[in-house]
Amino acid sequence: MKPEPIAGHRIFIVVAAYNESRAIRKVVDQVCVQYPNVVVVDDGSSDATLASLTGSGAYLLRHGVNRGQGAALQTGIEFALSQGADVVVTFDADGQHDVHDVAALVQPVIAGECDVALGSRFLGHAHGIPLSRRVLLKAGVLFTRIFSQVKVTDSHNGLRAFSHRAAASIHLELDRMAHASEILDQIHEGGWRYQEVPVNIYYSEYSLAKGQSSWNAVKIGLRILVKRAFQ
Amino acid sequence: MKVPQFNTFQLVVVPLLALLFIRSMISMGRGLHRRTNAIAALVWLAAGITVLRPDVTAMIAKAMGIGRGTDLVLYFFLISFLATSLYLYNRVVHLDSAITKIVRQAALREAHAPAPQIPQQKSVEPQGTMPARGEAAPANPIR
Repeated sequence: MKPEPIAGHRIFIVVAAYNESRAIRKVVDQVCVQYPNVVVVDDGSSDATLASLTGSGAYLLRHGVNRGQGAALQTGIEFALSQGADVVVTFDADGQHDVHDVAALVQPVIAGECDVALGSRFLGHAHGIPLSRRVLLKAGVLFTRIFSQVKVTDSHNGLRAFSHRAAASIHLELDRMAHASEILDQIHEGGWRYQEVPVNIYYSEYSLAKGQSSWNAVKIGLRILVKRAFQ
Repeated sequence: MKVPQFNTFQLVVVPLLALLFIRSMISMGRGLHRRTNAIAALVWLAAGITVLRPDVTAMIAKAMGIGRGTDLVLYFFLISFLATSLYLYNRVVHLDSAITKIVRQAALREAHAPAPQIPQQKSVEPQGTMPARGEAAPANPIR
């Protein structure tokens, strides 16, 4: 089920990885089968994340010091653009995403229907999502509705596709998951047309352990507010 | 002439402040961080005066319409604490983004092209648009 417009476009998949040695190789190998241009940014991992990717089909970049997921994505996006990417897709390293969703995600960007396509697990499926996580994410959506101009059903989904122009305008500065809100804000500021696309999220014990705790979510919210206050 | 009476606190703290003051003045004289040392010297001097002559703060406080000398010192510290916090917060934010910039530049400079993938189904995409950077296709790209 490969939609034809994808051929002939340089789609780059950017994966930010921090201490993901257990999951990353499988994720990268799966993505590489369908998309030859994969960029992994190892964000100063202290485990074997980078070593586990030896011989993989991905471009490998390394942050010497951990700078946070937002910074790692920014590095990957800049690299992808320098390699002539038409479309930049961000993809989580923990195996939550389904590579088969990328085609549908990229499609509206390539068709010129929007500049940014945002994956939504609530329009699609969140397989095995625990109740606590569902509540937390919904709170994140509510928070975003209040403090951001962008109205989405899933504000913290790592699967996104950017046109070249939109990707070039993104400049992420906040670390951890705060960059999710930052991206939405910059989509609004840049006046980029965005669209939500249903995607699957697969929860596993591993991805849940790597995800955010509720307390972290509170801290992230506060950090975003502090940044706003000082701007 | 009356011999001045010093209490224990003054006997301990004033020489200490005097030493700090002299040190700051010497550093300033050597041209090291002139502004910082000048401010430091002023702070030590003011602290010394306040400890030696508590009535000075009381006088200033009264002139400014604040009840007691202690309150004046308290307000002063409150304001300088907030100002310092803001200043340091800004510094940290700037430092953070500077570090990120350096780390990013190094990452981009030392990027490794994908390892050559052996017979794939239909490798249409020209792999390895990366400049080879002197080293041949990195069979083992990780240092």
